[in-house]
Amino acid sequence: MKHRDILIHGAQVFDGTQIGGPADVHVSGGMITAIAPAGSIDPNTFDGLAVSGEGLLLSPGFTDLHCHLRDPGQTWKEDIRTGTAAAAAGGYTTVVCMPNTDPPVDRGPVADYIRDRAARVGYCRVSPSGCLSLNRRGEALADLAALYSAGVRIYTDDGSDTLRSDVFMHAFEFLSMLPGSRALIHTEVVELARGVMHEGLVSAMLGQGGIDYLSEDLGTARTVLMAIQTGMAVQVTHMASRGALELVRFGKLREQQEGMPGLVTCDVTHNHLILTDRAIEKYGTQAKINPPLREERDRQALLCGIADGTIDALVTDHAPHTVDEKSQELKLAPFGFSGFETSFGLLGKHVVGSSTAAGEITLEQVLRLMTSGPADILNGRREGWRRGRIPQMTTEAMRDFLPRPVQFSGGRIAAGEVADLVLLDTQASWQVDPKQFTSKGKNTPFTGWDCRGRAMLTICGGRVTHSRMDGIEREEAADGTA
Amino acid sequence: MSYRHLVSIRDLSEPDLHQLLDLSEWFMPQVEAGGFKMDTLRGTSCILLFYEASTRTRASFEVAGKMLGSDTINVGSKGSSTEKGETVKDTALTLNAMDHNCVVMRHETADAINIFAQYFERGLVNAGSGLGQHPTQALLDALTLRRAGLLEKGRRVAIVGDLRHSRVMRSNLQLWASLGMDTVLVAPPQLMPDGWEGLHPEHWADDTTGYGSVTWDTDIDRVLPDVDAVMMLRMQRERMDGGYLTNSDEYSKLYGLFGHRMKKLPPHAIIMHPGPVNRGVEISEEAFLDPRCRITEQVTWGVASRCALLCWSCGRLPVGFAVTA
Repeated sequence: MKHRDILIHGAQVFDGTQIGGPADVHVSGGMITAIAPAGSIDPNTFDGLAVSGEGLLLSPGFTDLHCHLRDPGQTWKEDIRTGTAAAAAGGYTTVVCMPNTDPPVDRGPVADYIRDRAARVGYCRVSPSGCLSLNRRGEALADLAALYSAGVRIYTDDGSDTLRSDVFMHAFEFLSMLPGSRALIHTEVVELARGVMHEGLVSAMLGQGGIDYLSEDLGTARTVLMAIQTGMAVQVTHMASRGALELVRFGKLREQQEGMPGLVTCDVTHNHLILTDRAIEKYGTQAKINPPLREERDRQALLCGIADGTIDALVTDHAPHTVDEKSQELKLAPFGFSGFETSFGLLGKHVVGSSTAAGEITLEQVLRLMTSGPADILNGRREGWRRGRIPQMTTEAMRDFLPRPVQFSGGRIAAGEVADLVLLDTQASWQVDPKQFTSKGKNTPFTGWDCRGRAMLTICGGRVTHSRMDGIEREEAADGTA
Repeated sequence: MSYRHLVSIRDLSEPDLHQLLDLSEWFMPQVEAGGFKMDTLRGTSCILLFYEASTRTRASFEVAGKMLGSDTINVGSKGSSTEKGETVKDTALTLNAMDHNCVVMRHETADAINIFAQYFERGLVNAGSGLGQHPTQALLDALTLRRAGLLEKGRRVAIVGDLRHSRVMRSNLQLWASLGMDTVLVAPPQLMPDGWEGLHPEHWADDTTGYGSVTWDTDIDRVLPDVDAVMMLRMQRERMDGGYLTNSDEYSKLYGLFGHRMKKLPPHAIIMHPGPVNRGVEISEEAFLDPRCRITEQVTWGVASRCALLCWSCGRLPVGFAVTA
């Protein structure tokens, strides 16, 4: 579909690395074609959509490496259309959705469905992740090569960890020869994770079953050691404990020693940076997530991990459920809540400016972890070491699994990059109101919380996918059923 | 001549190897003609001691023994004293005390044959020891290569498949490397032994002068155009349980020898497979019918090769076979 040319003039530009001065950014044919000094292109004579970015910050569109779109199979919670529309409203232009759907994404055609559906009705780029094990049972391998050919780059059994360590290891070994693939691991020893919340003072007081630190820390140790042994790139996702962070640091030290930079990467959600297990007392099931919200010392450690650069990406773990599902007892209510539409605003208010042992967290740091950080991981830019160590498969050998071309946000603003952009009002003050969510999932513990910063306009491949600006309408999806 | 043991392919000197291959070739016309009986091993008894399943190895040793006039006796783990807890050592001592002339042994562990060899003083042939060695298969493969003019320094052979669980690979690689031939191992990482670099000759040979190289690749298409022979191994379905393989379909597409890959294989190159074969999985019917394919011939040649081995291990050469200097 051909989109009109766009000019965003006068906005400050965050190019993926740092915040610079105002500039004029020209978009044509879905690409960024020019970045000119502010005022050098006349908006009045511009043939196309001219947007004034006066007082706003133009950033690369956000990339989220961890979300749930619930499609196929659980579309009462969310579907690809509503999920991607919510993502666009939060400023996201690329999302990686988790494979714990029904059926799970353990075979090529399920990934094909998600990509095709997203192309037809979606509002952002969707990279389906694929399962590591068949049916996510941890007993046999999923169709890893067929998934690769369907465009899968991130492999995970998310929702849980992979049960059997031998299956886990063989999956890592197989994937290590597929260029650009990365395993994203929900690190958890399931026998130690039967509870509903963090095991600690609050669970003891409430009389609720706990999820021990060891569940997450042992699982993280297994993942990190497995990566070092097999040479397979991994991302430890949604870290909640300071122990997991320490183990990732160990992995990063070893990767430096062995010349494999980018082998071990990690991410956190804004939830774990803002809330602790005390939130269960206050918000009940609305704050039930897995891994659980842990203690203040964990939250401080994770904030420090942002400031010192250990953490490579911020994710939403957008996990929509119906209000009824979340209104049950803690034991029955599902884990997770919606995150796309609140992540940036909550980070701006509650994380930017936090002081940590490693210094104050800046807006630039947060933006990097939402743009170039995750985009580099998804685009395989963090693993040049792989070719030398493990013979990589050529496309010739993969002829029956020829990868479908994939295009994700580049996480950068530069001429020649895809035009995936978000125009941010970094000073906008607003309160979370789940009734206003585009997502079908209306659950969040943050109802009524103050936010600072909001996506005013989201552009994905030159198409306006979200707008809060007067006179600019969202452009509907290709098949027009939206 | 005296009794000999063949436990590992590395037990064979180069003259021994060539004598065994010459002897195998000498038997070939007789085996192909069929119906021959010889007196070479008349009055001897050969025990076929198979603790593990086998069709072609066991049948070929038995028919070879009978052709040579030996009394062959089958002993398996079922129905023998092994069921009652007899150790390998005691089995060796028992069979030794009975004065049997030769034992052909297959066992599911790599080292049982070494224990047996310590206590058995007559002829002994290893017909497959766990993941360790399969020297008689390597001899048969060497015979196949020699008949195609490919058993010589500088030739390059690829072995494709589950190398983590392959004793055939281990014996063949050691034989080829010692002759100055290069081996390319082709498998995805999870089907390679951890520490596969230990297969390099410098890790197992005292002096590697004149030895060939051992390399690994994950990509069969990159390897095929430069080889003189390719050996396909059976895709072991039972391994899928441990998550070693995704499924037959993916394996077959990534590593199977099919039409487009047959075109990449040079015209002079040959195709081998130790069997049993999953037709359509690691190798196509088309490849089977290709003139470069030696898989069916290998079974016939196996009998000749085993005739030679029994004679060699019992120390009796057939009348009419001239020992070359």
